[in-house]
Amino acid sequence: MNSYYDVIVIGGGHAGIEAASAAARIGCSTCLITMTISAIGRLSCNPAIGGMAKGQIVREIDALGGEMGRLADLSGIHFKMLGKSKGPAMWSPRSQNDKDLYPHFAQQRLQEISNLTLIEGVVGDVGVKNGAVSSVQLQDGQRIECRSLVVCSGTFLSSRLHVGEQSSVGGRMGEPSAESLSEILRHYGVSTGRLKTGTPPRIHKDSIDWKLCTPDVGDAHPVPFSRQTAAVTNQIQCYLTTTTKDTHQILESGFDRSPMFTGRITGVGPRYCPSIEDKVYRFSDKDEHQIFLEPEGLATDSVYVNGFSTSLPEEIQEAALRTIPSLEKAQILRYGYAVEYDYFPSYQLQHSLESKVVKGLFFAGQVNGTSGYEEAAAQGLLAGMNAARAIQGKSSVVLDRSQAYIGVLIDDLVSLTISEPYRMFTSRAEYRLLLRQDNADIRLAHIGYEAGLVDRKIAQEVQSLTESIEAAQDLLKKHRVKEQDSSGQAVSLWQLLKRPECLAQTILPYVPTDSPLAELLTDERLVEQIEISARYDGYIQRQLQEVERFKGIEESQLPATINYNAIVGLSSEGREKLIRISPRSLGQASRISGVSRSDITILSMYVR
Amino acid sequence: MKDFLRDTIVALSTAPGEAAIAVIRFSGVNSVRIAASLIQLRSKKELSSVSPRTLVNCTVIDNGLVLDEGMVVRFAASASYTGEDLVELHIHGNPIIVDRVLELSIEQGARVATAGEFTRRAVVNGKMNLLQAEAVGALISAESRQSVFLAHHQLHGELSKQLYNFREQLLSLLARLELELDFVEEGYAFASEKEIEKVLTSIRLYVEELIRTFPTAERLSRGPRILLLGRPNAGKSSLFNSILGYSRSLVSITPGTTRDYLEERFVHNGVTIRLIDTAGLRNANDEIEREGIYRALEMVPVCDQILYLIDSTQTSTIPEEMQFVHGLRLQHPSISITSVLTKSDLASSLDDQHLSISIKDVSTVKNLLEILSKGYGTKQSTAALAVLNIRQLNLLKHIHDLVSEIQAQSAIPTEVLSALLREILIPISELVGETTSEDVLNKVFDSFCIGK
Ligand SMILES: Cc1cc2nc3c(=O)[nH]c(=O)nc-3n(C[C@H](O)[C@H](O)[C@H](O)COP(=O)(O)OP(=O)(O)OC[C@H]3O[C@@H](n4cnc5c(N)ncnc54)[C@H](O)[C@@H]3O)c2cc1C
Ligand SMILES: Nc1nc2c(ncn2[C@@H]2O[C@H](COP(=O)(O)OP(=O)(O)O)[C@@H](O)[C@H]2O)c(=O)[nH]1
Ligand SMILES: [Mg+2]
Repeated sequence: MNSYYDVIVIGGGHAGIEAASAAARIGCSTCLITMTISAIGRLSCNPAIGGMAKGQIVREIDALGGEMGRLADLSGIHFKMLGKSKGPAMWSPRSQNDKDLYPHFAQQRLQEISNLTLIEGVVGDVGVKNGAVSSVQLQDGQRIECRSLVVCSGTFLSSRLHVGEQSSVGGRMGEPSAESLSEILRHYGVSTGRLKTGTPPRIHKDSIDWKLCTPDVGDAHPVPFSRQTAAVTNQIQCYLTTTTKDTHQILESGFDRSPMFTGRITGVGPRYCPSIEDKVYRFSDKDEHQIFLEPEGLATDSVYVNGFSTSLPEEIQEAALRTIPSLEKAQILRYGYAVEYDYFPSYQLQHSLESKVVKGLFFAGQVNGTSGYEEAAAQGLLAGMNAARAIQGKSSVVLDRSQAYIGVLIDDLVSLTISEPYRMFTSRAEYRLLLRQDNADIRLAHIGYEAGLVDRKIAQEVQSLTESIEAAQDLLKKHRVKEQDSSGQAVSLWQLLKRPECLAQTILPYVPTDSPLAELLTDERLVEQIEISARYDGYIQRQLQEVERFKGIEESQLPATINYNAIVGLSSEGREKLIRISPRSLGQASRISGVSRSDITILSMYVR
Repeated sequence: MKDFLRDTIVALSTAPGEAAIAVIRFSGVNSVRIAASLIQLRSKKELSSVSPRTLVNCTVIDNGLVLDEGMVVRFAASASYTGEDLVELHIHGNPIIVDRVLELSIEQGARVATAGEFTRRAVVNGKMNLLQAEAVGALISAESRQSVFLAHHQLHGELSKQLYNFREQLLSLLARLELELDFVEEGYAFASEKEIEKVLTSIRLYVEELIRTFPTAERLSRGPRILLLGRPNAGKSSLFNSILGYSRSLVSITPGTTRDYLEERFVHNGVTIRLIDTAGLRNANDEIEREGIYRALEMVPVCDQILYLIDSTQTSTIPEEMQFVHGLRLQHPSISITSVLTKSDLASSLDDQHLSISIKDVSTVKNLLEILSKGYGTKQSTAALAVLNIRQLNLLKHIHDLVSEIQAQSAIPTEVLSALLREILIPISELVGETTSEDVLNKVFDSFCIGK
């Protein structure tokens, strides 16, 4: 075994997989150290990838040359495009995945990457020399040197599991906690906080009375996440049911024994995917809450009870579940539990995800205070890329808010002071109409290619698609036809296409067969893109103008050396946040909560 | 520019020229030190040890000699107009003394403030928002009692309050639209079309009213302009002088003596009125006079009211003159045009139909003034608020356009509607403050239940 690697990644979760793969494929000798190799890629919570906003992120990961899209396609057993009742900017792909196949394919994939070594072990110590990371030490004493270190340790740092009044040490049910890592990093000046998250019970599929639930079928024509996957198929069905008043009554009877209510869990839980006891307590006027029953795989009897995240005592979980139609005889395979863990508040990071205090130290995934596989993977990809680029002396890849959800994610992480796990929502993106799942490759493939993660062939395909789209739009705008109605006015094909309900098919009869347009319009991707652009035309233009408008303030750099204490007139809260977060641009400063408008005015005078 | 906010600025804050007193103001970190170096307190204490907001006696010293006697007061940064340490020095209103004090201050390191810099610092330091700062400006230059009231309203944040209120409503709508979008599978609809319509309509009506009243408010803040027109010798200059109470323009019996135009302001019933005397209207041969006539006609579109004077002793021309007035009215429907018969003391018989005056009879002139001022400022306008400047007007128009655009369309997709509503927040923010998309999110989750 080597005693040196360019890049070491700690943790084989979704962040670690991407980070290790990216660093190795960019050309750095890379090693992924994780507690259990066979646990790499485990889906700790719901065996599902994508969903609203997250599906867009998976598409972006794929466009940049990451792994998640392909792994989700390989292990997917139920595919559905969410948000179809709204416009294309809201469409979000989601898959239900086999909980055993996902890790299987993830491990297989990592093993085939040539520059990458997988090591089983627990990192207990980190070495720092002259302010830069230099090595890690495993609990068995082995020391490995490195130049960049990416910490992707998820929910495993000093973590505690809670079920009712019982708590135990562990990072996931049945897996240990890493007790010393956060202490070591605190020693180097990295501060930590505490967060928590929960997961619902799993039940045996034969104990469910399926007749009583509503089926939730996948798409008739399921679409894969990755542009490299030819096709995917639906292999299972999911089901829907709801809680009842009786369920709520039983849950309430256990409030005084819930670790969250009794204050035993000090970490703050997410408002976004609240536990069932939270929902019952906070929304006492609601008589029912939706429950999705999602099979965890093809070869398993386990069914995930989506919407019923809980850490109440076991007997209460069981009694409450059994008041839900179809679950009257439910047999619990694993009780719901909550995990509480150390995280590293992400304002301590630069946009490259490198620590501001220790050089070469990168953080990605749930350790940064996020929640969700996709959010973790996205950070892992960027952190791995930048860890490798730092060694190669290249500038870091930073996506901006108008380029990608990933750009929004990372900019938010380094600017916001979070008080609960951060997850992505489409509403976090100012330029949502531009950041769609259907154009992720058009937006990002060139960046992945330049970074060395996307094949030349794909990059060229995307490039020529982009050019064809532009050419087709030009031709559509130029080509005029007479209106069918009495007015007989000449309108461009583009104007026709902009009309509600008008599809490319409708205008095809007007396109002369010898026009290059006829040829262009045979490409399905191109047709999809121009239909969407036509639909959002005007609004997209306005969003682009807004992007331009804010460029000035976004590009107005704030030097890292700026002494906020010497600036007269800053509000005290603003000053404190500015010192802590040290924003890199005026735009970022303006998004920090607590930095007031007048603080921004003062700063803008300083940088002028 | 880096030290922009670190200098201490100084300026004469009262009107220049001879006066009973003059107030010199200092603002900035060194204001107490600089002011203290110019004066000796009668109490022999240090200025820095005098408690804030207390006026104390002092002498102004110039190279060991007493330049003046006066009073001084200091304000601590936490409670001053600018949000910085501030000193006011009250001395005698002699330009020689004032200039010397400014000179000495500059020697001590102060910089002469640029226009509006004290207020600008107040904005920068968060003491007031931009609308309020604009109100301060409007207050100082208000030309009518009513525009003073309007400026005060804005200074007290009336418009800001309303805009913040609209922003709240929009954010609340956005929050709910976002919830609908982010949890689209759960099929929530938290914001009804009716409710969105209601909010948009209330914004539109409010903004429309402000835009509509802008010309009035603007006229109020600068005072109405009244133009005197009429043939040479109609008595324009005589009336002009009579109203102003002193001889301003030449009065002569040779037609065409008022060669250009003259503008004077006078205050009547709390309104500053600008009265403009012009050359007579006829085909002048004299080059200069023709120019004057041309100028007089040029003034027509920019004035608020025209008094068309007709010499009542020239009975034969009266019908022709009336015809001319009629023509003017057709050309300028938005300007109120009043015909006035002059020299009533000389006229043999006058019908009651027409307003008539004589400068020999003060009561007729007073009566005319009463009639004139009725339109301006004597009664409170119904609008408690008004737009104070073009910047505000343009941003309000922008808001209006955006709202109208949304209301003109049917069945806007939710994600587009959300983008359009967010767009309205931009001019609102420009008028008062800032918004980020985290605001929207905070709203969402503060009040609603979310399934996973
Ligand atoms: C109980 C539970 C409930 C959850 N609920 C939700 C939810 O409701 N919604 C949601 O979106 N997401 C939920 N998640 C979160 C989701 O699983 C994570 O966001 C995602 O998996 C994070 O990925 P990661 O790569 O950052 O870390 P993880 O997937 O946690 O992976 C961390 C990896 O690091 C390894 N590791 C840690 N420390 C060391 C060390 N010192 N040495 C070696 N290896 C180490 C671990 O063995 C593990 O393989 C939940 C997770 C858990 C555990
Ligand atoms: N008796 C009398 N003479 C007037 C009156 N108004 C103006 N005049 C005279 O009319 C002549 C022309 O007046 P002037 O004001 O110069 O007219 P203008 O050319 O319209 O400005 C002067 O001799 C005035 O004294 C008035 O009300 N009564
Ligand atoms: Mg005259």
